[in-house]
This record gives sequence, structure tokens and C-alpha cells, in this order.
Amino acid sequence: MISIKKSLTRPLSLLLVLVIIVLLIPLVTQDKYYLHILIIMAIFILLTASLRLIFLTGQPSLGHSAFMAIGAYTSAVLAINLGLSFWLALIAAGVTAGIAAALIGIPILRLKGIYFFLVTFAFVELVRMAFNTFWRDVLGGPWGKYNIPGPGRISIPGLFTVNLGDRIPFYYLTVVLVLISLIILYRIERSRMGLVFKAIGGTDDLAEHVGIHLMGYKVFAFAIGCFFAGIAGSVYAHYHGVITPPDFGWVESNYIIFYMIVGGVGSFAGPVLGASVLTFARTFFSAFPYYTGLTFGILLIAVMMFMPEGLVGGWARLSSLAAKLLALSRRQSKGEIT
Amino acid sequence: MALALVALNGITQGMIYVLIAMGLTLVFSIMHIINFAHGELYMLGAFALWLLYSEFHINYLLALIVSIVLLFILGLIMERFFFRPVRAGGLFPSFIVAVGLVLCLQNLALIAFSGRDKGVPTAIPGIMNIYGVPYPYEKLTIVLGSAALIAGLFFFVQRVRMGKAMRAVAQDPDAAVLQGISINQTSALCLGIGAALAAAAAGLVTPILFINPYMGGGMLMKAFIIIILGGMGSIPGAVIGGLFLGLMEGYGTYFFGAVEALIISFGIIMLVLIVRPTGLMGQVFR
Repeated sequence: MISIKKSLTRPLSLLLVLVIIVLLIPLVTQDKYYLHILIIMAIFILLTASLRLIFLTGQPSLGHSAFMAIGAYTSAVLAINLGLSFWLALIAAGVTAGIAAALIGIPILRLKGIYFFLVTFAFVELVRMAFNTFWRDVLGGPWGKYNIPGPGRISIPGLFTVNLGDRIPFYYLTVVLVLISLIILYRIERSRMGLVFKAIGGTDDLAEHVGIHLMGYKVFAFAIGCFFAGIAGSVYAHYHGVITPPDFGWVESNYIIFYMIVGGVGSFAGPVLGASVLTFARTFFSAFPYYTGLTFGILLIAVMMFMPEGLVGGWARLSSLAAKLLALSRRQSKGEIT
Repeated sequence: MALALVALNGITQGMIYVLIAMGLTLVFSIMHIINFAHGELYMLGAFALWLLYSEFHINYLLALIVSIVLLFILGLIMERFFFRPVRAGGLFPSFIVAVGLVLCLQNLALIAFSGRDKGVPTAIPGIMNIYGVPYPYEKLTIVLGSAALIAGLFFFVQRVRMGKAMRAVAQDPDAAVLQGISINQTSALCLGIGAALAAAAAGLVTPILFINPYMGGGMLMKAFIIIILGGMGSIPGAVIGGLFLGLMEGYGTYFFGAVEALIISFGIIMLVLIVRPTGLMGQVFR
């Protein structure tokens, strides 16, 4: 399903410009609402990009929300019930999600295709219901965890004190976290290990014949992807301050897959683009829930039928079409063709 | 006595599950896709019945038949315009399209009918007595109607030409094409029948339930549980799985509680998928 196309290679300078723009946004607008949208976008970009790593190995996982939930709840419980600092809770959330992924991955990663899809579907719903039903004194049952503390203050003595719980500092915190995570994910994908992942995703029989230990790499990819899902979950928890079981279910997992597919699975930039555009649309139009859902549905069907490579693929086709038209018009003006 | 009541209700519920699961497994075995929109077909069937029976006051049986026919046509349309264009892509494009359809259909229903529960008056009032256990005639209708439809589907698949064509496509699409069977027609018919079965299930069960546009999702999950347990692509598996789930839910809820029973169900299917992914009866289409 993931074709081994060339990743869309953007010049490094363009990327740098984008990053600088992102970092400078709070200078342009201090509007809490726009920063809110951007923070949500960042969280989901991380979720989508980390899901891509799992999909690269050919394992279509519908379970990403479950690990986001594990991360969120771990972070919340550690912060509230044990009073740990945000940073410790964050790392613990990611590690817990990663370990949980490795443990559950060992039995289920043997499955492929539709079977793996269904078992992750069962898993994510199971996790949601479990968080809803068991250990209510710690997990909060249907009411979830609330009053989750923000990251708190950091101060450089004599210089300044910053409350990371405020909107603008939290924005920077999220952006930096997500950027670092994206860089890590990108480097993994471009490394030799990434090549192995793609080989497994492409034809796992052949990969095995070449001597690649399938289960080891699959579990590892799954664990890393879910580690970042846990991190995203923790950020989500400390940002919103409230988490409830309905926040995480197969529907949410579905949305992450959508962002990835609409953005385009063939490249690393695809999920990032898809997540940005769609979370922006989703948050922006959340005032009209039914019509948003309807539009999303139509969008999904349209993309699947007319632009299956996603936005990134569509962009590539558009730019190559534009190049052809340009060449054609040049030849026309030179008089070669009429 | 309470246990007998649980058993009766479990079987009744199970028969409904069987109808829905049969439609889903039929589509899987022939079109090799999991129609995530199946739950919405069930929901639309329920609303069609509600419209005809409760709002337009048409005779129940007539309303049931008309809603089945309407959903059959909808199934044909769905296959022709939404699933056929992406058939070549395999599993994933059809999944995305299906979920896109879910979003569209569910939200359209929400816009049209609002999210409030709606009820339909009982079509067949009265309660009968089975060895001391009270059992409404309405539920008896469900069981008998479902049994008739299940038998009808078996007959169709075994004896009728189009049904045998569907089996052929399920077993070996290329050989089927060589025999002159049209995959397009077979797929369309298959989805139509699946939708019709879902509508039948919905129509039968609506008089004893409240309906709202969200009812599709829950039913879809149950249908998955059933076809995984029974084996995807197997109609007898769907029957066994449906009855099993109905009974298990009944007893599970009685002893543990509704949510716990559902958790146990999901745990079971995870185990089944890990240990024996083909379920009880495998992918053999009988």
C-alpha cells in the first residue's frame, strides 16, 4: 500500500523559512484562539507523522488513539495523583505508551492487512472502555481526569520567569517538542532502519528472505510510533486540562488515518500537510458539527476517488502539469507549434 | 426462570445480529472489502420504516417491504458510484470511502431527523407465554422473520443462479469471469442484498427500540465481532456468531453488566484474531 516513491524533497532553505514563520507567529497574532488552533494542529501533526512510521512497515493500525490515551492518562495520573513534574510525566507517558505498544505488538504484529486492522480496532475500543470502567478512583471513569496541571514555571534566576502554562509559552513548548519529534521521525525514516521498515512494508516475504528479522523491526517501529503518540497524548492532556474516555476511540484513530491519507502517504510531508489542513478545518468549523462532518465525508470520498495520492500527490501532479503547460506555451511562442 | 428469559432475549437479539452480520460477511466474501458504512444502512433502514410506518401511517408489513426495497436500491447505488471506482485500489481506498459515507449519511440523518430518539408504536401487540416466561409477539416476529430471511438467503445462494454466481465470485473471481459472470453486477447485487438485510433487521427491531442517527456505529461494532468470531466470508459463521453474541451479551449483562460484557466480547475477538484469524468457519463461502 505504501509505494516506495521518492519522498518529496524540499530544499532545506524552504523548510527553514517555514520553521521560522512558525516560530514567529506569536509576534503577529496574540489571539488565543489562533494559537489554540495551532497547538492542536501541532499535536495532531505529531500523531499523524508517528502513525506513518507504523504504516511504513505495512501494518495499518487503527489503534493510535489507544496509545495517545495511554500517554494522556499516564501523564495525568502521574501529575495529579503523584505530583510529578510535567517533564517527568511527559517522558513517562511516552515510555509507557511505547512499552505497552511493544507488549501488545508481539502477539498482534504477526497479523497482516485486514486482520491487523481489525485487531487494532478491537484494541482501541477495549482501551477506551477499560479507561471508562476500571479503577475509577484513579482513572476517573466516565468523568476522566480533570484539573490536570500545566507545565509550570521555568526561570533563569536574575533574567526572567516564564509560566509555561500560559498560551504563548505553551505554544512554543509544543512547537519545539513537535519539531524535535518530527526531526527524529524523519531521520529514522531516512536511515538504514527506515529502509528496512519500507522493505518490510513493501514485500515482507522478500525482506525475510534477505535476512531481516521481521518481528523485531515491526515491534520496534510500532513501539516508536506509539511512543510519540504517548507524547502527543501527554501534551494534549496538559493542554486541555481535562481528558475523558470519549476523547480516544476508534473514531479519533480514524481521523488520524484520514489526515495521513488526505495529506498523502507517499511522503513524509504528506501527513504533516494533511494534519495541518484538516485539523485547522475541523477546529475552525466546529461550530457547525453536522455540516462539518458532512463536508469531511464528502472530502474523503472525493480525495479517494480523484486524488488517491493525497494533497502532496495532487500538488506534484499540479506542478508537473504546470511545467508542461509552461513548456508548451514557450514552444508556441517560439513558433515551433501552432 | 430469569435465565430462561435471558436466553430468549439473547436469541431474539442474536437473530437481528445474524441478519446484519450476514450482509457484512456477504460483502466481504464477494467484494473483499469491509463495508464500514453497513451500520448506517441499518440506521437508514430504521428511519425509512419510521417515516413510512410512524409518520405516514402505512401498514407495518408494507412499510417494512418498502423500506427493504429502498435500501436495496441504495445498496446498488452505493456499489455503483462509490465502491466500484475504487475497487482497484484494494482495501484502503474502499475503507476511506466507506467511512466518508458514514460521515455523510450519519450527518445527513442528523440534519434531517435531529439527534433525538424516536420511537415507533408496536406493530404486533400482545405477549405470549413460553413455559412461564413472558415473550412479546413482537419478538416472536423478529425471530420468525429473521429465520425466514436467513433461510431465503441460503436458498438464494445455493439454488438461484445469481446466488451461485456470487459464490463463484467469492471463490475465484478470475474463473468466474471466464464463466461469463459479471463482477460488476454481482458486486452490486451483493451490496444491495446486504443493505436489504440490514433494513430488514432494522425494520423488525424498530418497534421495540428507540432509534436515532447514532445507532449505526454500535451495530457495526457488534457486526465486526460476529464476523470475526464466525469467520469473515462465511454465512453459517455469521449465523453461529450472531446467536453466540446475542446469548453471550445477554448472560454477560445479566452477570457482569452491559459494558463489562462488551469488554469481554472485544477481548474475545482480539484473542480469536491472534490465535485463529479465520474465525470459526474460515473464509470458505458455503
